[in-house]
Amino acid sequence: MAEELKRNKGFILFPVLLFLIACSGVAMTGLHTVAREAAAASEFLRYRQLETITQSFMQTALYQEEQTEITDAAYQLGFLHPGKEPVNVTVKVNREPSLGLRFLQVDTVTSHDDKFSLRQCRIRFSDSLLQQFANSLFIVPDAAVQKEQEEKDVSITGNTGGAVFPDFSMESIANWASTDFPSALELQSDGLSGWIYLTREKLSFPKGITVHGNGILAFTDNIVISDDSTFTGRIILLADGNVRIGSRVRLEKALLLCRGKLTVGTDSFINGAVMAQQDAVLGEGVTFTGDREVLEPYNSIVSY
Amino acid sequence: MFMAHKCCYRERKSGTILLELNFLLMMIVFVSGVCCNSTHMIYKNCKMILADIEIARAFRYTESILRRELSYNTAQARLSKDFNGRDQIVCQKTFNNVRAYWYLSGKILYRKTIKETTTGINPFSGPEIQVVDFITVPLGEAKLGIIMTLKDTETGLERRKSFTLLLSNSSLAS
Repeated sequence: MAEELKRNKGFILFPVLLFLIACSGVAMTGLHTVAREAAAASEFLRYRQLETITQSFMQTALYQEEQTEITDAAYQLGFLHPGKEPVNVTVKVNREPSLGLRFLQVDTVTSHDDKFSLRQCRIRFSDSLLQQFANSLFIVPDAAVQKEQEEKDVSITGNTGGAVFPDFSMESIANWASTDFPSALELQSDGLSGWIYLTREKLSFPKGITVHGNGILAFTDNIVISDDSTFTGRIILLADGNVRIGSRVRLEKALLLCRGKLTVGTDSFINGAVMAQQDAVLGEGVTFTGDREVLEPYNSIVSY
Repeated sequence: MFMAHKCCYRERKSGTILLELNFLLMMIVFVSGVCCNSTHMIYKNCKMILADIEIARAFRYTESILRRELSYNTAQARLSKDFNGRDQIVCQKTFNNVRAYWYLSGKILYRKTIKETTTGINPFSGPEIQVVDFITVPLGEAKLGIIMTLKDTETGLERRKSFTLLLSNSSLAS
């Protein structure tokens, strides 16, 4: 009987033990979920602080730039909460004086290498460039003589006008700007968002593409804008190589700075200003209208 | 006498066992009662804790999207009211042919995007966590406050969350 009682006791205690184990398992899982959630919430909060700090420094830098020239700077701030991680902010300013291009980047980094960056670029064209465009908005510096092409309604200023192509380095621009150039499909559907777009590859825009929006388009190689394409917004096109513009292309507000040779197909329309260092060949029926608005300062968006 | 005593001893012994069994039974009833109660409590609290976690997750998701869209991808933002008098945000995106509307409908936060003749509507909150309130508060020329009340449909738990946005590429139009 006593043996049976012992067995009975053991039999009763075993399910209690099992139940307690199950309970502790559930409790542990719950605690783990809560701990994981707390960690995610802390990380989110820290990231938000990084973002807010970066935004504040970017806004301050842009505001200060209205009064004085900004330069590189580094700051050590307090700690992020929770976690007490120290924060360092660096403001980097890169310039391309011949073009009047300024590239600003604000990085906020923690001791654990968590980072948030914001970038912005601005073009305030240099006085020398603006002076060159003072007489004519279509300049070919290496052309031997100044020539008038009355039938095309385009006045081209050659070397006799003392024009000099701005000595900007596309490579240095490439080091600052991102090189993820949007695809033709993205350009067609979304357009340009006001940022600087750079590619190191030969690029050919497809036929009949219509691109809305403003932006700086920088190319280290030759580019082709195929027939029937249209750019409706304000674009600043910087090209290290040759630029070939197809027929019936419309550039409605464009500044073209082409280090190589510019070729424009028949019945194309360009409104803005053009400088092609080596040569410019214009097809039949090309219409060029000068527009000094393309020489106004240009501010890109603040991009992450 | 001895026999009677022996018998009595036997009876007492068996009575003792019965008492112990009784005691064990009571203990089992007590333990199972406590266990049931605690299980119920854990289950109930667990559901609330899980609902809280779900709300926090939903808020982080919605906030991240709103922050990215409004802080960086918007060239102009305007605060207005929809047909039901609820707050909505009308944005001109940095891609200048795209317009976006952020509004609440059926306790779900939606973004309607209009690109030339194409219109797209995307929900930015799930059916499990409803957005009961979506209130916009202008805090400055380029600063916007958003207050959202999120509700877990299963437990009915409601949490009010708020955040501020610094509009890097736009200003608030009246």
